[in-house]
Amino acid sequence: MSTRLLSHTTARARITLLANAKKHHNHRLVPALSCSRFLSTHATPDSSETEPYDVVIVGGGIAGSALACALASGKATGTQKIALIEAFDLSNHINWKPRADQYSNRVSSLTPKSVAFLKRIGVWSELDSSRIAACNGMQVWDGVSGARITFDAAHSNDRSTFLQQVFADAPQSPSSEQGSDQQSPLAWMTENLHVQYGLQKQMLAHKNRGVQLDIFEKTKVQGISANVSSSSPQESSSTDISEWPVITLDNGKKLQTRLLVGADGVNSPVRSFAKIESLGWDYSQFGLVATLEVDHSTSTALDQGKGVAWQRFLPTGPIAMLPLNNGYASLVWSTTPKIAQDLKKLPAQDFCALVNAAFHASPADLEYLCRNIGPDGQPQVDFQKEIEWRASVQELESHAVARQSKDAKPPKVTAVQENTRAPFPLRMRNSNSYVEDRVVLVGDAAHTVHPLAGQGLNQGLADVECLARVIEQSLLSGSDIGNIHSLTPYSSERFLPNLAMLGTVDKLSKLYNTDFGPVVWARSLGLTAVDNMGPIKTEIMRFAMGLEDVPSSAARR
Amino acid sequence: MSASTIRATARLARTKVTEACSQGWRHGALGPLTPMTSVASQHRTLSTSSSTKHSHHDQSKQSTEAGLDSIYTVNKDEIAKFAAMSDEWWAPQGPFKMLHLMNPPRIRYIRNRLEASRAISASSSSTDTHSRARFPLQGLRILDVGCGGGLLAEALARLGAQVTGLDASNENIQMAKIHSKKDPLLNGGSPGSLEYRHQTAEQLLEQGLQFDVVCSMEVIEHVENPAGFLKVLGQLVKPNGDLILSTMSRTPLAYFLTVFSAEHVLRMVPVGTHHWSKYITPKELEAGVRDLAGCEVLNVQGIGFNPLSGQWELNRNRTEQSMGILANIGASFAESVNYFLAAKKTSPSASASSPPS
Repeated sequence: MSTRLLSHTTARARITLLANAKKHHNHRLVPALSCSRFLSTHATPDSSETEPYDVVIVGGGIAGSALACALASGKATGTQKIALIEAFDLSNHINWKPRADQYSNRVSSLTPKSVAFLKRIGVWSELDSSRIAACNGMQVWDGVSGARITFDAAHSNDRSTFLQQVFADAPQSPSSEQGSDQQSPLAWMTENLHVQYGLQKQMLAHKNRGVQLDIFEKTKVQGISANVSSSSPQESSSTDISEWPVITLDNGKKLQTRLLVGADGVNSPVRSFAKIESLGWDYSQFGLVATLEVDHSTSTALDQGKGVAWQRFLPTGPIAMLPLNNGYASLVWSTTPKIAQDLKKLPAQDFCALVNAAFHASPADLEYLCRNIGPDGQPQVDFQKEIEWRASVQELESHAVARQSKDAKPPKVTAVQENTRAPFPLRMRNSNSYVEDRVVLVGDAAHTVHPLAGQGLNQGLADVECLARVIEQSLLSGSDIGNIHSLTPYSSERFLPNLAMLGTVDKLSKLYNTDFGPVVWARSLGLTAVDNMGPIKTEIMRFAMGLEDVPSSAARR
Repeated sequence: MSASTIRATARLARTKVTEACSQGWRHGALGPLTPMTSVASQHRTLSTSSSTKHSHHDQSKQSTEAGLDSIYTVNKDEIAKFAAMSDEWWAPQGPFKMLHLMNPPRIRYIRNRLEASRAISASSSSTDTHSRARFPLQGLRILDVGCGGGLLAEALARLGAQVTGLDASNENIQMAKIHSKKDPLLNGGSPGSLEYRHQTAEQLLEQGLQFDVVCSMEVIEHVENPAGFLKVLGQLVKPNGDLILSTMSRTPLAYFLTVFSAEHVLRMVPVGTHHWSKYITPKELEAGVRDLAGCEVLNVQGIGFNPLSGQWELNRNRTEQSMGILANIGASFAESVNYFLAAKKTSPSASASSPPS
């Protein structure tokens, strides 16, 4: 029995690690983003000449833009002729001038590994440090049982030689300079738009210094085609690149490319073109994001100015609050599709009350409140009163009192910024393959993960870093960068880690989306046990921070 | 492995080879563990003592061929074997897949050796420009003897070299030409250039041509007369130029991997692709390069396929090893299957100074 228990606990520890590690992350939540972007199959008249490129990147999101920057900054890849195609107006990014008291609802947590990469490609220094919040600690607890685990940066630093190496040459990261403690944060929170802004600035800087980087913005891909490989042995006297994919744009232009990169999101048209299957499922869950204003004086000492991320697992899904600067926080609430829609419509004051209840009240109380949102989005009971009354009842329960006083509490939500509440569907996808001859997929086009562990964007950046390195190596060995053999090292380096992350996060999500007694008991035992095991916690955190993900091929060279 | 087992293995190998030969070598493919092939020629009259050892082929058949083969003893069966599969050279999952995978480490080796011999500047130099990074071989004239479908030749040209690819099979040359049209970089889009010739090394020599670098990868084990072949290669290298070879060593391990496993068990390549008895050990090759090609051997390095990573990796270099006994054993093991050899032509040897023209 004890052996079984132990192994169970260990398994759970692994799972838990991810969970805590990062809560939030990148969501592609603008609904129109992926579907309408590209791809219709009707071809345009064959009048125009095609323009040849070395690399065409479809999708100017964070993954696509980061790839453009990484290629442009490489010694050999910087000589390539690159095109980036994006349906939206990228000038919105470069002209981004946020007010200090407003935060976009799309916030990501960047692991130290991702930050190190952004530094290397010159993007991090473009960012505004006042809009980057260090996350120095995490509090994760089970809403049903109350079992809890606490992480802080000290754990990850127990054996942080790698961390120190990463940051040794860049001592003043924008966020760590303000903290008085020397510890490297677990992660950095910032808005996706902010990262986009930095990427766009770098792309323009590369263009200005002569890199052949053509940005087609406000441009949609109308179709992608390629001749089937013609191995018919007739000798032609002229160069024949008919096997290269042709990308037809909605402005009539045609690009022909040695390598086509799909950075075009979960419904990737490039993936469809390459006939790569993608397997996965939609969770019967939605995520709701919002920008919150919080009162830090209401939380316990642990939180004071340190930047703590809070995550509570509820039977309907995890709710997470991620620290931003100046008394703001970003919310990601995974729940049923109906509740997500209701939450969006709820009056602001009632919404805040409900968010507070979601972090403090019992799951039964929360469920009662959520049931009482009317079809018009108005509460059918007085939320404030209900919550106060229920809290007072809870106080009477002595064990609850004991726990409440001991445990750290998240800060109280005082307001929600207007127009920041947005629901989005949660899903998991993994492509059967990331590469085909002359085609490669990165980011959400290759894999989409449940946002609960906040790893989606970091996985995408790890893809990009790896792909840029593989292309550089191909050029240095005189290979054709579009050849499948040149791309295989990327696939073999990224496929398994991404799959492992997807599987773990998926299981974690299923594990916590229940209030079935034995499961709750077992997972609570695991959470509490891990909280008491220093070394295991350290490993969990390092994995979640991307520190274990050292590319094997880098060592191989 | 006991000595008797080794002898038995060797006997088995010879039997297989003989059988295969008697069947006229149905298509052989080059295989996973054995790299490229295609046949280079050699002049039987140039050959020295070792030439008769492998003369199990029908000489009369060769001598009846006109033109290309009338003087030069290219191994016709070998040419036919690879010509028959010439359209497979560029199939991603075809019989030459292992050669495709071997190309990056080959290039790495060539670049390393040319940097060491100062034919090109070091890639890590801080004065590197983007153009230098992309085209490190710019300005070098390189001959690839036995170029097959052009895997290596294309890569060398993309790195900026002026490459001449040579193959005794017209089918290979045609395939290589067709494929080279598929990349603008090989057709004026880069400083490099690429030409293919259906000729023998001896014919080039007759035209008085010499090159900064002569490469011949996984070819010498397929030629009729290795000694004569080496002599011709040496003459094609300019004084102070570089000669770079790769082949497979005649060891039990090599037999096990390249013939027994790759051909008979895993069927990665057709049976009959390799002739173990024609493999050459590093010591033999070193002596040949020194005595026949007139070059100073600077480096011998093994290469192995790592099934975990799915990539070929250069093994540790013998000359870089410490002098410990274990290290030396390790090094000789490292060269016991596929290996490279790099040599430099120090001074024009007697034979090299007077090409027949």
